[in-house]
Amino acid sequence: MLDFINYFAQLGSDPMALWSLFALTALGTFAGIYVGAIPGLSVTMAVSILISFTYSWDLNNALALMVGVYIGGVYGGSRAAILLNIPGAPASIATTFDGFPLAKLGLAGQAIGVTTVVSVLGGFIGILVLAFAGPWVSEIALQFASRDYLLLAVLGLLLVASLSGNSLAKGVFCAAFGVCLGMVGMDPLTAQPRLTFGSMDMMAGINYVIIMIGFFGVAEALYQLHHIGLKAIKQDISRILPSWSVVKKYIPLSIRTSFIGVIIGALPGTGGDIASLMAYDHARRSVKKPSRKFGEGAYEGLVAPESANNAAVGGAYIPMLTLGMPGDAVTAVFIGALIIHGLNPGPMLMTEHPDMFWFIIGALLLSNIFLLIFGLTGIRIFTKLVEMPRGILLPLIIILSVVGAYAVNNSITDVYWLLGFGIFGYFLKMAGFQAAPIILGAILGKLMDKSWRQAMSSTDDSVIALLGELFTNPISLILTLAIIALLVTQTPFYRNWKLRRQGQPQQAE
Amino acid sequence: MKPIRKLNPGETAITCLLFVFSLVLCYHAYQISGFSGVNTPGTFPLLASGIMAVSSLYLIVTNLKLKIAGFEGGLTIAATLRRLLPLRILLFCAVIVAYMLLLPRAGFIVSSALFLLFGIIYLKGAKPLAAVVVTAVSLTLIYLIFHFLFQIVLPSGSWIDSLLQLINGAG
Repeated sequence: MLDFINYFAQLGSDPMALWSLFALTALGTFAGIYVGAIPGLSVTMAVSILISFTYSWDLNNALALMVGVYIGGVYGGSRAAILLNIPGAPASIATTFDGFPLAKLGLAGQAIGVTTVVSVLGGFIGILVLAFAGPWVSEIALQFASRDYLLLAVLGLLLVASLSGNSLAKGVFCAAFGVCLGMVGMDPLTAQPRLTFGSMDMMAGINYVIIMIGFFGVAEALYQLHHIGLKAIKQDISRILPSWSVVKKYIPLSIRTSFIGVIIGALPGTGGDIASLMAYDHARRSVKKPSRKFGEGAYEGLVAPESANNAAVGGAYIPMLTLGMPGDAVTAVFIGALIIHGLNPGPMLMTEHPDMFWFIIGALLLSNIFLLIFGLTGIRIFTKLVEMPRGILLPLIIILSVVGAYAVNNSITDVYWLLGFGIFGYFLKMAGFQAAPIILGAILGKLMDKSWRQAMSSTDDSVIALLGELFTNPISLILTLAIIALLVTQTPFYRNWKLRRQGQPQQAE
Repeated sequence: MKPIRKLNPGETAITCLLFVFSLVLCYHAYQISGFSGVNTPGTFPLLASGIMAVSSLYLIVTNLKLKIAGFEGGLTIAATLRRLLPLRILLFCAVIVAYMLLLPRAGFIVSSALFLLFGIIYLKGAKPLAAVVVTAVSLTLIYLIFHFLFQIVLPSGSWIDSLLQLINGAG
């Protein structure tokens, strides 16, 4: 910690350098919010562009701008999720579940206010863990074997029960369909084509951002055509900053889900998208009396994913700064930036360049402070989006969805996929199927497939040996027990037993 | 008591189509590695498509039970089709398809401008001048952000390219 203060004291001796860092972090955070809010524009894309842009800059200035964009972008995804029911980024999928119903109630302003505060809180928790327990967390993350990733994916898939709407069978169908979509393309281990129907265009697979924009953006726009005549809902923006009593109420949930975010974020290959879905599931299971029913505008449904995805940013930096391993796609780009500027990210970075470690922590902290300022201002302009007549908004959503899908790979085939998913998603929605389990399946299916096959290869294809490992390794045991506990609590026997237990004292009275 | 859900219009027909789709996927998933082992490229596709087939079959059975118990809307086929695909949605879908087919040929700017103009005039009932202004402003913003700031090369259009070549050749 002393290093951190010393390093910033040194910067303070050159006021110009300090001011430029402040200004660039602020600019990055501001721009990041807008990048994140536009579906199809990803933080990874923005940070990659910034590398070429800032190639000749001083490293600190370049990093300050990139860190700002990262923090702002992760948060910005929530704006489109709340206002349009289209997640700006995969990490905001869970935010749509309760965010959009709040906008339908005219409470988008309050929803954005709560989201901002808990995002900043989650961000701070992530940074604190990175600063004080980074090496320790990265050691735990390294202990995760393929079977643990498999268990993590199974744990995530149990979320289907919460996202299925009125029929679990429909949720299971959608999740399995999502898994199939995730499998399309070349098998990553053997390069064998899977579910490509002999088409070369399908060999590269389908990016789940396109699945997300199709099922949420285009399908939602088509569905909204049924209500084209309805007047836009006037948004109440008189009280955006949530009161202390409201914030205090959500702090315990925010802290719990932030820790979920940090751990998932620190695992290489998993990030804010999985963290936010798991946090949402945790909220559904742990909050007994939500402000509204989950899925109908419960603030808890915003607090959990938004705390987790911002905390996952700090988590993603842990393996990057302590081991030189990227925690997610954005930190992989950061590693590239450090290499371009002559640094060698790896286990020695913290010993050879402690200033760099503490500088990034300082920039993250600063960016979170700016996030609070920018997040709570300018909401009026965003809420005007929802108040726009549907006749203008819906064609615009289609155009943005098309550009967003095209931008992923500069491919017109992706635009056709988008159209297919949009129309298919519309019919599914009309028949009462939910889109969220499809995305869940697409994200977790790939992880599950890869982890299963790696885990099986490590046990010479012996299922018995793999099952044995689940109960002998401490991390696997914890995850296995968590899955068993979650499954048991879903059974009618458990629910009846719990009801009987709750009923007994009342009868005694 | 377990809550009883009401059938959505056309739900049984859609579920039947989903079942057929699942079987097609199952067949293709089986083609990958067959039942040759549990650690093959085909394991998860086969498992997932199998789950799709079983769950859609389960839904068909429960839907039929609900139908027999009178929990369906009682709509005729024509009325169901009207609820599922009203003329406005059918037409808008056709326009989206036309837009996406036009996109690689006429380019992003021309095809998007036509789509937006039609969309705003048809859905909002806006006056042509107002629609032109909204289209111009929104397309300029989108083009500036995506093309200049994020350096995404949006489709210029094969027809436009040929036209430009023709003009350059003539010049």
